Amino acid sequence: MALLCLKKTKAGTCQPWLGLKLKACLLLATSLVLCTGQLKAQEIKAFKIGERLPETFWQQEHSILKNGKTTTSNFKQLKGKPFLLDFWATWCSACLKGFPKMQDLQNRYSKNLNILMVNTYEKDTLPVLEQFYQKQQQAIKSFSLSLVASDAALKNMFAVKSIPHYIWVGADGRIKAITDAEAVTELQVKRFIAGLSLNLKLKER
Amino acid sequence: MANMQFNYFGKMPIVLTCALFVLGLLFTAQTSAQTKFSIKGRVTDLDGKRITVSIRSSAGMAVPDADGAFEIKLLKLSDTIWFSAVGYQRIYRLVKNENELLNVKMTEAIKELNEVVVETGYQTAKPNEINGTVAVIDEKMLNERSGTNILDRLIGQSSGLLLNVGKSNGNPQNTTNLSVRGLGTINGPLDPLIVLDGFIYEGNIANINPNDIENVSILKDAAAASIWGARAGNGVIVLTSKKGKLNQPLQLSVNVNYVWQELPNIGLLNQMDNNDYINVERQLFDEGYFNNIITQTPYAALTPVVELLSALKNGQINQATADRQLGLLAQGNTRQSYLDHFYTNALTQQYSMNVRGGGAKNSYLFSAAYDRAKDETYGMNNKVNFHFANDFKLIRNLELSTNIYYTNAVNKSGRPAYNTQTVGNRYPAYLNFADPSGLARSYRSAYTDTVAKGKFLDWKYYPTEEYKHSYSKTQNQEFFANVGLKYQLMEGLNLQLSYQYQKQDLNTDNVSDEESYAARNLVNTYSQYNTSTGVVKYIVPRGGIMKQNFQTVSSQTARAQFNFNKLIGVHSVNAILGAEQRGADTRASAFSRYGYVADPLNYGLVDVLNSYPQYLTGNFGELGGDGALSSTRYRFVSFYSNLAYTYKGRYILSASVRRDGSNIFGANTNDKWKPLWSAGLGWKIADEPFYDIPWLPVLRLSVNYGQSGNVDMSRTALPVVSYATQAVTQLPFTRIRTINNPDLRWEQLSQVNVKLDFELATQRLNGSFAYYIKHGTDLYGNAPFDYTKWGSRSELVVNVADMKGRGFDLDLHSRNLSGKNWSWNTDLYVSYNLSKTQKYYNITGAGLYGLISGGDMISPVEGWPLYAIAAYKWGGLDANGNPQGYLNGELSTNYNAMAAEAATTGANLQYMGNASPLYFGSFINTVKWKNLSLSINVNYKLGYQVRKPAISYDQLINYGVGHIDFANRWQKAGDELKTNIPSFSYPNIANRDAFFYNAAINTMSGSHLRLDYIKLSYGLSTAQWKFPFRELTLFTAVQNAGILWRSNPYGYDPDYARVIPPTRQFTFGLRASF
Repeated sequence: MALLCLKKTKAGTCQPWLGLKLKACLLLATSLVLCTGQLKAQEIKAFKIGERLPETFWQQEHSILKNGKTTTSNFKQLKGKPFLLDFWATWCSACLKGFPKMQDLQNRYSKNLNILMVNTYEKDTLPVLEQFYQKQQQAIKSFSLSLVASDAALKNMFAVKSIPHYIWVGADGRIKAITDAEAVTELQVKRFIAGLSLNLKLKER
Repeated sequence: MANMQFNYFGKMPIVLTCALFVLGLLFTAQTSAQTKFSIKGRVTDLDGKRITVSIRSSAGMAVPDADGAFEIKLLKLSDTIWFSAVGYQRIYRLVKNENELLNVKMTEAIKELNEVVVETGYQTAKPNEINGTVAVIDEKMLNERSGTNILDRLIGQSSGLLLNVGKSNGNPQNTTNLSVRGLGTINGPLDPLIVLDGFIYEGNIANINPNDIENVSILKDAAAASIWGARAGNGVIVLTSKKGKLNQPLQLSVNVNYVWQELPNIGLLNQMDNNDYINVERQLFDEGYFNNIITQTPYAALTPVVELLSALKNGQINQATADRQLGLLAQGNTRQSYLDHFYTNALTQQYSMNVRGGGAKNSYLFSAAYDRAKDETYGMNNKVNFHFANDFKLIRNLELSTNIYYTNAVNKSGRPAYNTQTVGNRYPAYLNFADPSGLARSYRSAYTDTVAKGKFLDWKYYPTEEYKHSYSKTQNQEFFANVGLKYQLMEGLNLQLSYQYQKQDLNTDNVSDEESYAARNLVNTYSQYNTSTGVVKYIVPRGGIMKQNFQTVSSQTARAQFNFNKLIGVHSVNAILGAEQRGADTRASAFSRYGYVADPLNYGLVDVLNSYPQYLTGNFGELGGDGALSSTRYRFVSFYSNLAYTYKGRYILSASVRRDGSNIFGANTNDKWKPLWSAGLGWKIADEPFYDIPWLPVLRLSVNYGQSGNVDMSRTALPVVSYATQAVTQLPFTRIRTINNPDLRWEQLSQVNVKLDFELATQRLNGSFAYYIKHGTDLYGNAPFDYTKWGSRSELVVNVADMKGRGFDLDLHSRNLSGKNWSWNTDLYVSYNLSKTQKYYNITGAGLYGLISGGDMISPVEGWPLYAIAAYKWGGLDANGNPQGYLNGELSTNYNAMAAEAATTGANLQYMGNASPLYFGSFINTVKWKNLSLSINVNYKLGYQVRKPAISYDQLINYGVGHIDFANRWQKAGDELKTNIPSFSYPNIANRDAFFYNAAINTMSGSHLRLDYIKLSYGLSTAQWKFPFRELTLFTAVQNAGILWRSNPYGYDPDYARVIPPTRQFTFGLRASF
C-alpha cells in the first residue's frame, strides 16, 4: 500500500500524522501478539550496503519520462555506470526542493552518472507526472531529469519508509550508500563517480 | 494494514513501542477526565537559532514559534516530551513540574560515519585507497588496555606487532622492545620509528598522554613506510592526537581510572630450600672455599652462615651455639623479607580531561592529565601533561594549525628490588632485612666495629633504612610544538608549510645523604686514622653525595609540502611533493658533589686529581672528575614524493620516492645520499562487472614493493676520538675510539608485500591476509680489516651483512551474532614471522656453536634465524652423576673436547628452534548486552624455544645463587635413572657446568596462551539518562590475568622464566563526556 499516513509538516520532510498513528495503534493494541506478528511478516528484508541488486531490479519495466516523452523500459541500460535513485512524490516539498540540485548534478556529470527520480506514490499517476514534468520544465532551466513512474514493488524492494530517499548504486551494480538528501553533496557525488568508497550514514527508513 | 512509520521512537523495538501505546491508552482512559497540564519552553539549535522542530507529548504535538518558544499540553505529570528535527539528534525530556521552563538545545546529528583513516604522518588516507599495509588502532581499541604508556595499549590490537619480552640488546637506541613484522636488521637499532602528529618524536615515549591520542597507524610494509625513508626500516608507528572540529559544540570529556596490582610472586623463581642452601655453604666452608677470602681479605664480608662456621672453627662459639644459630638462620627467608619490607601493591591513578569544540572559523582542544603511580617497590612516578591544539581559518584558502604539548614527569626511586641485596657479593636465601644489626654488605662487622678504634663512621649497612637515605630522582620536562600553514593554491592543490620544535630536559639527582651507607662507606674508605693522635682525617668530607646528570634533547623540523588531490570523472589522483630538513641535538653533562647537606644547603670540596689510600685495602684510588660533557648533532635533509592514481575506484597505482641525506654518513659522495622508492598496484576484484561471487562481496588484491632504510645514529663515517687529560702528566690527549669508515652508509631494507582484503557474507566477516618477504642488505656487521694500513683493529663494522625475513599477517573481524539487545564480535590476529641471517662474518667461526648461548639476543649465524637456540645433544647422566654429551658420535664426559668439537664441526650440537615466536597474535571476543560490554583478549605465542632455568653450580659456588632443582640432583648410584640433574661437586668443573647449562634438556618450548585482559564496561548515553552526561562509561578490567595454557611441563611462564613474572592488574575507571 502507499504511504498512507504520510502528511506534509512544517519541517519540510514527510512525517506521519499523529492522529492517524494513534488510531492505527489502537487497532494494534487490540492484540499485541498479532501486532508483532503482522509487523514482522511485513518487514521487508532491507538491502545492506555492498549488496548487489537482484535480477528483478534490472528487469522490471517502468514508465520513464524524459524530454517530454514517455517510454516504457527497464533499468538494464543503467548497467556499467553509477546511478542515483531519488525516491520522491509530488506532494513532498522536501523532495521537490532537491530537484534543482539533482538537475545540476546531472548536467555536470552526465558523462559518468545517471540520476533517476523514482515516484512510487499511487496517486501520482502518469498523467499527473506528465503535467508535473511540464511544470518543472518551466521552473527549472533545461530540465532533463528522468522521472520514473513505478509501482510499490520498487519502493518495497528498497524498504523505503520516508522520502526523499536516495539509493546510490555503483557501476558494479552494488549499493554503495542509502542516504537522505543532505548527504547528496558534490564531493560525495564526485567520489561516487570515481568509484571511491562512500562512508555515509545509513538512512534506515 | 497501513504502512506506518514510527519515526519518533527511533530504534525502539516494535513490541515495546506497541506496549507503550497500550499503556499510554490505558492511562489516557484513566486520566481523560482530568485537566490537562501545559508546559512552556524554548527550543533552538546550539547557537540559539530557531530551527524547525516537532515537539510531542502524550497529549499531542506542538510547533515552536519564530523565536523557538513553544507550549505543549500534557495529560499527566510527570511525562516525557520528545523533540525531533531533521538533521538533529532526538531529545527526550522528562517533565515533572508544570512551572518548569524547558530550555532545549538540539545537537546536530552525525552526517558522516566515524570512519577508519590511515595517518601516514605526511597525509591522511582511507585504508582502501592506498596499497600499503597499515594497521589502524582507534581510540576505542586504545582504551581496551589501561596504562600510562601509549605503546602498552597497542599490544594485542594489531597483527604483526610484537612486544619482545625478555630480549636484550646492547644498543642504547632500543627503548621500546617492539617490533613490526619481525626484524629488519642485525646490529642496527630495532625500534620502530615513532611519529607524533606528523613529526619524528625523539622524546621519551612515556611522556605522551595516551588519552591525547585518537589514532595509531602502524605502517607495516615498505610501501607504506618508505615515505619515512632512511629511518623507516623497522616500521613506523604514527600517533595522531585528538583535535577539535569546526562547528562542533563544546564538549568536555573526563577519564579517571585506578590500576591496582597484586604483589609480585617471587616464589615462582624456584629457589633452593634453605637447609640445602646452608648445607652447601657448610660444605664449601669445609672444603676451604672461603679460606682465601678470610686470610687474604680479612675485612671482606662473609655470609652469616660462614661467619658462624668460622667462629666455630676458631673456637669463638661452641657447637651447640652454632647449631642453634644455624637453626635460626634456616628459618630466615630472603624472598619473604623482600616482600615484607620492599614490595607493595603497585597503584596507578590516571586523571585526564579534555575540552574541545569549534566555531565556523576555528577549532580548539585543551587537555590536561595527571598520572600518579606508585610502583611495586614504592617508586613514585608523577606526570602532568598539557596539550593545546588550535586550528584557524585565517582567510579564505589559508588555514593555520598549532599544537603544543607540555609534559613534566618526576620519578623517584623506591625501595630495593629483588636481587639487589648482597652479602660479600653472594645472594644468601635466608636473610632477614629487619635485623637491627644490619647486613655485612661488603665488610665483616667484626672488622668494621673495631676499625680505627671505632672513630670511623658506622660502617654497617641497614637494608630497611638505606632507601630512606639514598634515592634517585629524575625530572623530565618536555615541550613539543608544531605549527602549520596550509594555503589553497587552486582547487585540489595546496601548499603546506610546517615547523616542529621539541625540547626535552632530563635532570637526574642521585642523592645519598649523610646517613646513607653509600656516603658513609665512601667517607670511611678514604678516611685516614692517625694511630698516635687518634685523629681522623677526612679526604672525602663528611656528609652526603649528590650526583647530578643533565641532558637536553632538542629537535626541529621544517617542511614544505604540496598536496594535490583531484577527482576527474572516473580518475582520482592523490599526490604529495615535499622537502624537509631536520636536526636533533643532544647535550649532556654530569657532576658530583661530596659532603652534600640538604639543609643548610652546602657541600664540601674534594681533591679529584690526587690518589689517596683506601683504608681497608691499602690500594690507592682517586675520586676523579666525573664532569663528562657530551654533545651530539644530527642533521637530515630529505626530498620526497608520493603519488596514487585510482581508476574507477578499481585499480590503484601508487609510487613513492624519497632521498635522504645526513651528516653522519658517507664521506664518499656515493654514500652520502640514500634514494629510496616504492611502487604498488591494487585491484578491487569484486568491483569488476564480471565478478559474481555473492558470498564474497569484497575482494581486493594489492601487491607492492618498497625500500626503506635503517640508521644507527651512533655510527659515523668519520673517526671518533675522545679527548681527556692524562692523570699523571696533566696533559691533554686524544684517543681514537672508532677509526674512520668512509664507506659507511645506511642500512637498506626492501620488502615485497601481497595483500588480500576480503569481506564474507556482507558485513559479517571481514579481514585481510598479507604475505611479505623482507630483505635487509648493507647491514652493519664486522668485517676483517687490514690494520697494517691504518688503525689497530683487525675488524671493522661496515655494511656487509644480509638478512631475509618472511611472514604473514592475518586479521579477521567477525560479527558472530547480533540481535536487538546484544551482539557478539570476534577479532582474531595471527602473525607469522621468521627472520634469518643470510650473510655474516663471524671471527669465531660459524655454525650452531654461535647459537649456543643464544635466545635472548640476536645471534647472527648464516642460515639460521636471528633469534635461535642451539644446545648440546643430551646423553643423560652417567653412573657417577656426570652429565653426558657426545664426542665423535659416542657418549662422553670429556667436556673440553666436546666444547672443541662444538666449536669446530658442531656435530654434537642440536638446533632447538627459533627463540622468537613464529606465530603470535591475539583473539578478542566482545559480547554486548544492552549497555553492558564484556571483552576478553587471549594472546598467544607459538613455535619457539626458551632457555629453562637450571641449576648452575658455578653460580651456586661463586655467587650463592641456587635453584630448586638442587634437591633433585644425582646423589647416589642409581639416581641417574630418575634425574637429569648432575651431582654437586666441589671444586666445580667449569666446562661440565657450562655443558649442562647449555644442554638440550635445559631448553623448553615457549608456546603458550595468555589471558591478557578481561574488561567489563557499562555505558549510558543521553537518551537514557537525564544527567548532563552525553555519555558515561564505567569499566573494570583484569589485565595480565594469567596463563591459560603452556606447553612446557615445568609450570614456567616462558616469557618470564628467569625473572619475576608480572602480576594481575585490576582496573576501575570511568569515562564521561558532557
